Amino acid sequence: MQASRARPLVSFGGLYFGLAAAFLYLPILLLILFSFNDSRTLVFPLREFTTRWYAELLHSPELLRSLGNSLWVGLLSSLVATLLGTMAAIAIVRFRFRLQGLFMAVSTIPLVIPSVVLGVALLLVFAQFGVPLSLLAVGIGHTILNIPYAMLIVAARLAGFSNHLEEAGMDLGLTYWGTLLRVTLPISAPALLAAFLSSFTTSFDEFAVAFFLVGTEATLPVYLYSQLRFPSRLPLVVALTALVMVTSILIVLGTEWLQRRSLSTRRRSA
Amino acid sequence: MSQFSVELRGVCKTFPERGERQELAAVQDLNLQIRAGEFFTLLGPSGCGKSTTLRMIAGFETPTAGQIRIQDQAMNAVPAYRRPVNMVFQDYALFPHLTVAQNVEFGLKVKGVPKEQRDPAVKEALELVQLPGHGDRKPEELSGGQQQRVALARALINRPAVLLLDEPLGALDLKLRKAMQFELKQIQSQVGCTFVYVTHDQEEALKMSDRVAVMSQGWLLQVGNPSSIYEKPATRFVADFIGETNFLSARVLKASNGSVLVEAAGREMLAQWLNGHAKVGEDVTLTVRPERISLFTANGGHRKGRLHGVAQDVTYLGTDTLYRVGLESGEGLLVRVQNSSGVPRFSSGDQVELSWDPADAQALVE
Ligand SMILES: Nc1ncnc2c1ncn2[C@@H]1O[C@H](COP(=O)(O)OP(=O)(O)OP(=O)(O)O)[C@@H](O)[C@H]1O
Ligand SMILES: [Mg+2]
Repeated sequence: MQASRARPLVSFGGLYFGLAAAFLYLPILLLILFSFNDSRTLVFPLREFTTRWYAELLHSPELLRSLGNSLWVGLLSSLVATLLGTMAAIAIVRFRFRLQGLFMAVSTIPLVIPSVVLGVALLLVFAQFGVPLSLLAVGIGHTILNIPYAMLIVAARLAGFSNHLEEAGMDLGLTYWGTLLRVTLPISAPALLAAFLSSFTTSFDEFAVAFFLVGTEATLPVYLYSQLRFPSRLPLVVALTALVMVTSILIVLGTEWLQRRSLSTRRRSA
Repeated sequence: MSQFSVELRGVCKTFPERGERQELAAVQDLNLQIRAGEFFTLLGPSGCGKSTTLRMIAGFETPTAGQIRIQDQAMNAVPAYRRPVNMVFQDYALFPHLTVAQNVEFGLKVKGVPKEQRDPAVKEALELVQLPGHGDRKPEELSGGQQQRVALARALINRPAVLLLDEPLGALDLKLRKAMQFELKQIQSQVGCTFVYVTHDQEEALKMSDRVAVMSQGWLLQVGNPSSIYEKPATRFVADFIGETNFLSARVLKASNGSVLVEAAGREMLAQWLNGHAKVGEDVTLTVRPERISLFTANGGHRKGRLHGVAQDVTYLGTDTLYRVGLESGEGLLVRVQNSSGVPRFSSGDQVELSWDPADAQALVE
């Protein structure tokens, strides 16, 4: 037997995995490791195992407050982004109207605008119209940032099932709005949830826009950044980021799972 | 109250052509009267406007001009959800997030019928379509034929005055299709509502319908029962689209009421004429169905009323034999002869004589 082609020493898949492990998973591992390490300096060798940083988190009111702020901003801005994104998706997928191409382009432009630029631009606009720098301003910024993602996720789902389903709804006695509520939205539910979760994670760890727009109340990423000036607080920050990261990964996996499920039911119903 | 279940008066539908500033006329000046309890079929090739017509009756499309009446009520301003019609879609359009029973009861639930009345109705509807006991399944767990039945039950449970079916059997394999054709007819006679059926399959249309409307490029060409559509086609298109047929070019020599004397294939012959006044000297097309032509052994001499030709292709089809006969005029004719012991068989190259009853030949305007 003879191998028909010489096998490369390292496969591309192996190379990619190695790099990913080195640059992505290793830092994450370190983060988790140091979050349980009983020392204020983040250097090897490791000391005793401790959960005191996690315990201290609970007694750090400012930090908890910024966490709460982030949760609120994330929740509300994701809700609004999902709502508006869904409306835009329905308009794009289910209707034909003049200037549809323009509408589509305008709704997806935030995808390619760097968030720093968006942050500065919004700062200017809010200053003009007298909107104070606040969590509200951050929420508006995050909503704008998230609408295109939400729209694309929901549009993919809508494009995946025939509008005959909606016509069948009307044929069976539902009004347009009744059909939306009892046919379109239930069938799109996995995509709506996916849009919401993906918006939430984006908002939760968004820094650039928030940095420009926060007032006195910081969001979590902004607060963490401000804490970097105090080396003694570093282990706390590490513990918190470890927590946030694990939660984010869980949410991302959940979103992925939902999208897969919605894709597979689409394939089966096609 | 008029006897018509659905009436279309001068209905037109144009779509704006995408990208260009043109308009596409999908349905042109359509007049139809569909009787109550009738199995009425819209037949025509792809893109002729069948679905658009059906969708206008359902209320999913608005006519650009004309009026649609259902049970003597003008429907133009009535939205789809308030029309006394239900639709069966080609792709079934079953709600994937609901079970079979929830799909079937959907219309009743929307109307606010209480559960005690819905449940027996669902059971009855599923029995009607021969799917008893399938209520708890999800649509995706059913075969195409079963999904089709669920779609039918979901529509019929509402007891619509008119059931609209858009190529409902299009996605089924041939065997299932034939079985469902038969079953649909039976269901229709049981429920007694008007069926408006869309298909591009002429055989299916002839087999199932009380009356057929043949459409082409948005125009209605002919309406009639299957035998009149088949035997008395009004245009060359209809003759060609429905079944197999022969065409000979001809010229009118003499015209009288209902028939014409024409010259065709180098001979004078009589033919039926259904298109009003024929003009002497006008070029027309003569059409004769292959099975209406008789073949004889040629025995020298020219017998009156027979054409002469040579058998060219012979195809044995079991019950029939199909001959392609080359005429002296250079034209060719298909002839279908039923195989039985008394009938002479010919082989390729044989001299033959042909004839047909003038009542079986139609002269058509081009
Ligand atoms: N929503 C629409 N927008 C633009 N053009 C349309 C639309 N619906 C139908 N048409 C056009 O109108 C014409 C008639 O279409 P229709 O669907 O009624 O044909 P059909 O007879 O049902 O054909 P098929 O057998 O392929 O279903 C076609 O040329 C089609 O492209
Ligand atoms: Mg069609």
